[in-house]
Amino acid sequence: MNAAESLIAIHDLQKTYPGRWFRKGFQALRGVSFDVGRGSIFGLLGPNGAGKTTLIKVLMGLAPSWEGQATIFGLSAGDPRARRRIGFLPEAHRLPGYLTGIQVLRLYAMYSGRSRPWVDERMPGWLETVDMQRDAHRKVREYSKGMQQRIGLAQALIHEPELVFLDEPTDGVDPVGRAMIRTVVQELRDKGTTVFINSHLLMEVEQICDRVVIMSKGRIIREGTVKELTPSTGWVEFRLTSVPEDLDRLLAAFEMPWKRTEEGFAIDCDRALQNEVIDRLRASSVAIDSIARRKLTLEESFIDLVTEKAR
Amino acid sequence: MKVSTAKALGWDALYQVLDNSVFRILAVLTALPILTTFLFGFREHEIVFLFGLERWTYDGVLGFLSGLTMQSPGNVADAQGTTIAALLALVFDEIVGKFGVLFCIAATAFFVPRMIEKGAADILFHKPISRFSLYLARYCSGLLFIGILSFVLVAGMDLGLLLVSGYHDPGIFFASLQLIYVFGLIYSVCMLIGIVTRSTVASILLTVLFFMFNGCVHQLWTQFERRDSSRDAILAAAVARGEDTESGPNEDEIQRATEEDHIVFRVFQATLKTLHYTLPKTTDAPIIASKLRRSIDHPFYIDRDSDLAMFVLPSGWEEAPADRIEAPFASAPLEHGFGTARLALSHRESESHFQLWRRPSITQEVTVGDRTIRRNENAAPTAAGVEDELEERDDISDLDRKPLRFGENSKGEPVSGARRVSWTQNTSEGARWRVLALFRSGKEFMYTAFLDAPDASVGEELFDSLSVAMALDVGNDNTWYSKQLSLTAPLKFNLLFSIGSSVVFTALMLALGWWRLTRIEF
Repeated sequence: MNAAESLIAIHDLQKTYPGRWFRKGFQALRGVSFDVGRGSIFGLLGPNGAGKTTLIKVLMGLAPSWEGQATIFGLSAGDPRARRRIGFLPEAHRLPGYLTGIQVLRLYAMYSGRSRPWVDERMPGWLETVDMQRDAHRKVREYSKGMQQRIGLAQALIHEPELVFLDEPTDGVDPVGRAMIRTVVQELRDKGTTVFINSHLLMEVEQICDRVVIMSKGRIIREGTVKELTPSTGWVEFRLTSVPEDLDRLLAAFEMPWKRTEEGFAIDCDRALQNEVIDRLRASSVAIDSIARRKLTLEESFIDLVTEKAR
Repeated sequence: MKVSTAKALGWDALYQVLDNSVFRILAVLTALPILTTFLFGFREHEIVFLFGLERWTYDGVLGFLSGLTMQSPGNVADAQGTTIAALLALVFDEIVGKFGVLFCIAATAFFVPRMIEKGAADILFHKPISRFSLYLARYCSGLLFIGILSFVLVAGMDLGLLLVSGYHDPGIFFASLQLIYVFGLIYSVCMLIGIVTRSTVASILLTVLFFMFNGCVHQLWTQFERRDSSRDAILAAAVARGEDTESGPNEDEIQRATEEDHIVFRVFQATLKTLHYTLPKTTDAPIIASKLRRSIDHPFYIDRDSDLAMFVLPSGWEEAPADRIEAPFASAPLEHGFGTARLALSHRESESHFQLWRRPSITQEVTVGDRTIRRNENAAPTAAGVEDELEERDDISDLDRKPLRFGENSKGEPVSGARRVSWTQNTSEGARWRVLALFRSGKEFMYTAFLDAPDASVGEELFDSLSVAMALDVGNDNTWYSKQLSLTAPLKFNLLFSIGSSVVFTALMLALGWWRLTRIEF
């Protein structure tokens, strides 16, 4: 991806929080570099203290002093012209309790430069999307955590930004709400909006993200597409209608590691050997329900990477 | 900044204020003084409760209110106006001006700490608005808070006074500005503390301490200035007495007046002066408001050169035609004379006459040791000259000379050195009681007020009412500082300096707060 196609371009980004009095400062980012292309869903992963939130704060202009290069829309990170085109749902955000849901959406969109009539025209649609029509006139302080998250998501999107940062968007949201957020994010991508997600829920990231960066201790330890980060394990899982009594005998001939599963077995084999296993089973009149080549989940991949890095 | 962004900041400020529970409590408390103006009718000669359920005379009420406010009633010549002025001073200068402002500080102190709390800051500060705009918007929210309350209070009281007492004073609205001004000065400090400590409790406590400390500094400074001023007056008087006698100035008096203080005392005074000049002059606010109110009064008579004014023409008096004005006594051979006649009044019922004369005052520079004192003409020697002149006449009896208390002109500047000479004079119309008052207004003019009445008792009463109308005898010791403050005074007593230095201090506090805010890593 060249720089012109990148919406976000980060090169050798470093950020150190200054120490107080005589205490030493803390380096949260140690030379981070990556690009985010237009119209993609980008996932940022990492254990606690990896520097994910710091990275987002640098990009949002919330952490002012940093070194290296960080641009959004070709403008330096934190530039108000760039921030006008950005939507942001921070982690553990606190919306002003004295405002109603509608007032939050209206004022925060106006802060981003949208006029009141423009916002009011789009308000019902967004309230419906986040399923907050009924409670829109209640004060935010009366909202549950999930409701605050829904209104927070709407405030990040109502001014129709080109780039959206979602920091733990499904935090405190029920399963129905999570599904809604996933749908919203996918719809945003379909409209050409770039979405930058920071989440601990790796299942969701795996489901919706195009590209993922994994950070640990202020550095990027892995970057790639979800496919690249979830390689095949080499194991193939066979689900059988009924498990034959002489399964050990049947599989012993292949001299490959295998193990029993609840509804069949899994065996470490390549495609050629997989076909031989099928032939052998069929010859022994064993009925096969399904065959699936097992891939590493993003969670497994993440844990492997992080623990390996820790070692 | 985009218009929509500015509008959003405005709406946000309003929502924040209206949702505040302390604001609601204060709004209810604001209704109490408003209710008073609807329950009590301040009529010309009496106070009426609930349209006649109870009635009281003004005796005692005036003294009580004046005692509470520790202030003179100012330029109002009648009991109704005086009582209302004292009531307004009690409400705006004492109750609301001090406690109300502190309540508002307590109610709005959380604005900044809450804005920069984790979670709240991220969602606000990522918006394309400068941190300065957000900071200033919180400051404006505070001003809006007190602005709404004070405007409702002032407008409500004015309406009550108009409907029930038939009294309307547009100058009362300056009280609202006074409260906003004081709050604005203090709130900038509160916000700075809030941004540094990130704690609402610390903001409230430290701001209240600052408010009290600031008031103490100002009061102490005023006492020192007053002491120095009276030292100069003693010195000038000693020199003047020396010129009048053959033995020369009293060296002991001069030595005492020019004696230097102990070094510790001088260091303390210098520190106090530095603090006074640096800190916001919150205690000047009621004086500024009072002077503004006075500036929009429409007195019956005003001399624009010196701002000497007669605010209300006492009952029974009417303006006499200009051709009736003649010198109090044509043969007066006073060194500088009375000058030109400015105003003539006649009182038909008692067949009395009043005249006001004016001439430039004489100023001299006197050197005492290494100090040069600028000595303005004092009314006392001039009055003594009049007395000497009158003593030589055969038609004069009951000659009496005594000082008058200081008063103020329409700008609140002192009308100083007043003396009165009274006598009984045999004329072609029979014996007439006459009184002549000499005084200075501003520094440039010496005035002579002359009253001609049939006898002493009528004359004294008429002279008193005219003196009150001209605010000649309503000053007291508590108004010394307010008399010094004016637009034309030297820097330390200059109104523009008072306002300017306070505004600069506020701007500095806001700039410091903004500087701190730009360095916060959220």
